This record gives sequence, structure tokens and C-alpha cells, in this order.
Amino acid sequence: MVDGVREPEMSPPREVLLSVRNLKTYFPQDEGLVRAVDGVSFDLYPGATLGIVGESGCGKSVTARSILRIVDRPGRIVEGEIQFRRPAADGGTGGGQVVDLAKLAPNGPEMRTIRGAEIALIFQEPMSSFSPVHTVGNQIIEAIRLHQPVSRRQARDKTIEILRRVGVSSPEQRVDQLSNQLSGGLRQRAMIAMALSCQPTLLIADEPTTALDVTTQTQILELMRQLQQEDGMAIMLITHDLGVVAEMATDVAVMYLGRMVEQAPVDAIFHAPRHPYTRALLRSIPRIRSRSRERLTPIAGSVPHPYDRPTGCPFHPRCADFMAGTCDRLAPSLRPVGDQHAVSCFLYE
Amino acid sequence: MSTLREPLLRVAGLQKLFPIRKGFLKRTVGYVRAVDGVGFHIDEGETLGLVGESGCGKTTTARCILRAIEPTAGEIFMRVSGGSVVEMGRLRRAELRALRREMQMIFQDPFTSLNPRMTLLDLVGEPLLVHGMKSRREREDRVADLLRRVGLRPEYMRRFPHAFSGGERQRIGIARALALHPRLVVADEPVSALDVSVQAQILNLLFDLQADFRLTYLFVAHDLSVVRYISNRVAVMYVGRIVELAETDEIFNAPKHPYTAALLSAVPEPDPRTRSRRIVLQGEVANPASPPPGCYFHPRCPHAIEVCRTQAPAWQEISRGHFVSCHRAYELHLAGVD
Repeated sequence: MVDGVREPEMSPPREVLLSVRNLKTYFPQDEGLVRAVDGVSFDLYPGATLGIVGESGCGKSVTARSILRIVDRPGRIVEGEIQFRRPAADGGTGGGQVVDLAKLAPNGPEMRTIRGAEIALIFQEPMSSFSPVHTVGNQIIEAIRLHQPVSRRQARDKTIEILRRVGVSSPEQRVDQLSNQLSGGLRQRAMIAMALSCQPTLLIADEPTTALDVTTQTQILELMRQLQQEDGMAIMLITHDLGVVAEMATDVAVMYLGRMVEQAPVDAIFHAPRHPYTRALLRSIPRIRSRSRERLTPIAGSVPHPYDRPTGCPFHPRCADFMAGTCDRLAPSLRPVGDQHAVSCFLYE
Repeated sequence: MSTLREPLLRVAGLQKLFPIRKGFLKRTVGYVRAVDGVGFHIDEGETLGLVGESGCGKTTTARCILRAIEPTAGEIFMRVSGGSVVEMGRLRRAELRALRREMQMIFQDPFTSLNPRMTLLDLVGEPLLVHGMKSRREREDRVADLLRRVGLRPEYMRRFPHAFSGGERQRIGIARALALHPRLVVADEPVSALDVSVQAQILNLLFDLQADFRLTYLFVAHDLSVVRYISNRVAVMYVGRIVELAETDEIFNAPKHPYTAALLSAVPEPDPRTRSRRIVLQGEVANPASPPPGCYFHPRCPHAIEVCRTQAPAWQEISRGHFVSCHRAYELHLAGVD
């Protein structure tokens, strides 16, 4: 299994923060069983950013929701482990207790102390993630008081301080505004403020900038990077945008129809991709540096509907290197092909 | 791209104000200046990319051209198939309707822009019926032809759109737009709702159709990489105005407006080795209901000087075919993407 990150030279080997093994989350539907996440494994270290890339239906969001144990019914985790290292009781960095989130009751007391405090989530749509009838401040104050033994007054001061930290101007006024009084960029900042209010060790960002304009996206990515440097949290960045991944991630996992097809440090994914899907995807996207009006090389076909999942390797009907008799019959597994680089493809077996 | 002929489309002084009404009597208390004095032309067979961030007025501009909404002011000249040039605001309803055959739209969202109760035959055949092709046999032949042309199998004609993926639905929308042999196609974010791996298919299709049918595109998008790929020339909009317009490679390699340069530098590239210092603009896009004085971009502009705060910059041709409205266009040296 590949590690989630290159070890920095300075510190002794750090302990893995999150280790997901063979996670399977299925949705039984009238039309059939949807294998939204079908055997996903990865490791994530403190201070690292793992980019999870894939197109619609690849299971990237369900993976995130599985970790937080907020999978919508009738979906459920049917197999696998989600080992999460909780922060040490004294607030120190190492030596916390490791729990398997997949074994916890989704609404039990332990999961509820972890969710929102130790693992925080920011979504794509900042408009629908805040209540429209409560002030932004009150919602952050509530989040703080849910997890920390502070007074309302202290929580409010803390909220103003954290809003200032995420770059909200005049936070003393903004704290009493409703979310619809804020612009898209400010709302996303407020959501980041709420996510960071309890100093999580893991931040899951699900398409955090997809709904934003490109100049606002730059501001938000810059902010996330800066906050990560200061707090040392790990980020799991879920996106379909290969540009955002290249900009932010230390490591990348590429998903297709519930499977992880390739996993590697960011430079290897973009400069030495091995899986035919990763390669084809990188060839197909228009680039800002290309010459204008130059033909693109598209991937044939489209992502299959989850009910019609192909047999064998899920990518085989669209694959340029398809080998009849193998790829359509057998499912490849993720195997190491180089230093911290793993691929799930019969070309490398 | 300059020709002696009149361009296919010429827009001058286009303006669209949306009134802001307040109170019981719904009195007008101000205007959102969605489009505020936009002018450009598109030659036949050419693609003009119209880019900008949300709320900059690019979609409103497109809709005014198609007369889906009435502009407040301005003129839109179209060279019709006979060769004569008409000003659309002066047309009567019947004349406008005849002209509508020549200009069609491709929409952003293939999931909501197709009626789920209509088969492909009805969807693609409807414009034919409306414009007088009464024979069902004839319509079926034409629809089969169109479906084949956009890469769908004619056998699918009796199916409903829900049976198709996003990319296939966008092909249906394109077939419908092409049914009446339009000359101008306005595409509003035609690939932004599609999966990354499908975008290239649709872009290549638009490219091929343009060559085959000598189509002229007004391509509205926020994704600069897509715009670079498809456009001959690019116009950049900011708060209701075009701030820069030039040939595609020129505007990407040698932008003259600080907003264009910031926009270009903000695009995250799919290459971790190019992570560079980006121009991080401060603040947010100005409110078109109360834009700042002077140049609308000055509160966010890293190069703003005193004159920018008080005077609106003039629209000037800085080199052949390269237009910009910036007080400092001649002195600034801005970086492009290359």
C-alpha cells in the first residue's frame, strides 16, 4: 500500500493520521446495488494534502461522507476500516488513540465529538450550508460551544477572531449578518471559519471552490494553504478540477466508478501518469498554454451509469489499451509500480 | 480576420439596465447596470469568446443579441442570408421571427434545457415544424441526418432525453440548434456542466460543425482554457463592460488590461511544476447596481493611480485589432501565460 505523503526530512517519521483500508459503501436501490465506493484504500499524514480526483459518480464525495459517517440512507459502509488517530488528550501532537470510525455508531457520542471538531468539512455550496434564518456568527458560536467548554461571550470573541483570520473584513459587523447578506467568496470564508473553529486535525474540502469565480478561487485556495501551514492540519481535497489539484495537493488519488485507479505524489501523477484513464484525462483537457484552435484528444464514450457498471475493470469500455479476455473479465487491484506510486491496471501486472 | 465585407454581427452601444424597485408602490430606486455600453463585431465563420466572472453581463449580452430580452439601448446589426444588413431593434415581430432561424442558442445545462416528455424526434424536429416543415416523413429524415451529424445514432430518435448521459444530451441540444441551418450560434457555457472527459468531445464537435456549416459562434464562458481552445478572438468583460478585446493568442500572451492579466494568472494549471506566485486580487467584483467611480476595476487593481479613481478610461486600439480600456495600457508590462 502506498503512503499518502513524502516524509519531510526535518522531523522524525510522523504517525499516519487517517488510514482507510478497503472501504466499501454500497447503496441498495430498487434498480440494483450501487457500489458507490468499492474498495478504496489510502493514508493521510498531518500537514499533507491528498487530492481526490474523479468525475461524477466516481465515489469521491461518498468516500468523504463515509469518513464522517454521514452517508445518506439507504447507503451504508459494508466493509473496510477507517483508522483515525485522535489528538492526544494533553493537546500534544503525537500519541493519540486510534479509532476505527467505520465501527462507531454514526450518531453515537464518540463520533459526535470527532465530527465537526477533529474532522471538519467544507462543501461546494456555501449558500445552502448556512441556515438562512440565523446569523453567521450564531452558527459558528453554536459549533464552538458544542465542542468546547466556553461561555457564549468567549465563543463570540473567538468567532470574531477566527473570521478575521480567514480574511473577513470588519468581522465585528459581519458576525451579526445573515448568510444571504454575504457574497459567495465571503460565505466560503465564513464556512472555512466555522470548519476551523475547533482546530480540526483533518479538513475535508469537497469541491470547495467549484461554485466560485476564478479570482475568488485563488483567494480561497491561498487562504487554505496559509491556514494549513499555520495549523499543520491534513487536508483531503475532493475535486474534479485537475488544475486545483495540481495547485494544492502533495499527493493525488484518481478515482473512477468507485475504485481508486491510481495513487501517487502530485508530480508523478501529472508528469509520469501510468493508468490509461489518468493519461487520457490529462490529454483531453484544454490547457491555457496550448495554441488556440488546436484539436483535443477526447476520451471515447461517457462515464457509465452506476447501475450499468461494466464487468472487470470499470474503465475497460473506454480504454485505449483494452485487452480482450482480461480487462472485461477480471478486476485489477491497486499494485505498487514505483516509489509511492500505485496503479490498478493489468498493463502493470 | 479582417474582411471588406460587413461582419455577420455587429453590436454597438448595447445597454441593459434592470430597475431596482422598492416599497409598496414599486418605485424605481436605481438600476443594475448589467450591460453598459458593449460593442463588438463577429465575422462570418469566426468564433468570438466572451469571458468574465459571474455577474459581469456576458449572459445578458448574449440574450440581448438573441432578443430573448429587450436591450435598454444600443443597436444590433445582423447580415441576413440575402446579404442585406438589418438592425434588429427596428424589425417587426414577423421579420424578427424569420431572422430567428438564423440565430440559435446552445444552453449550459443539458439536464434542464430539454423537455423530458419529448422524444428526440420531437425535440430536434420541433423547430422544423414551427418553421413550416409539415411532412412527418421529411422531418424524420432531417432529424436522422442531424443526429448522425452530432454523433448520435438515428435509431435513438424515439427515446426520451433521460436515457442519455450529459454529453449525449448536449449533443441533442446542438442538433436542435442546428435544425434550421443557423448562421450564428450563441453558446452559453456549453461544456461547463459536463464531465471533464466529455468536454473535449463536445468542443471538438463544435469545431467540426463550424467548419462543415460555416457557423459563426459567440462563445460565452468563464473557463479561460476552454475559451483559448475554441476562439479566434476574445473579449473580456468586467461589470457590464468589455475591458479588452484581441486575437486569442495575443490576449493570452500579451494582455494589456490588469484585469485580464489577473484572470489569466488565476487559472490553476494542471501542472504542479507551474505553481507560481499568482496575482491574488483583493476584494470582490464591483456591484453593478452601484459601480465605483472612474475605472470600475480600480478598487482591485494593483496598478491603479489617481486618474483611475476619477475618470473612466477610454476604449482605444493599442495595436492592430487589440482594444483595451485602461489609462495605463501603454506603460504597463503585464505577463501573459507563455
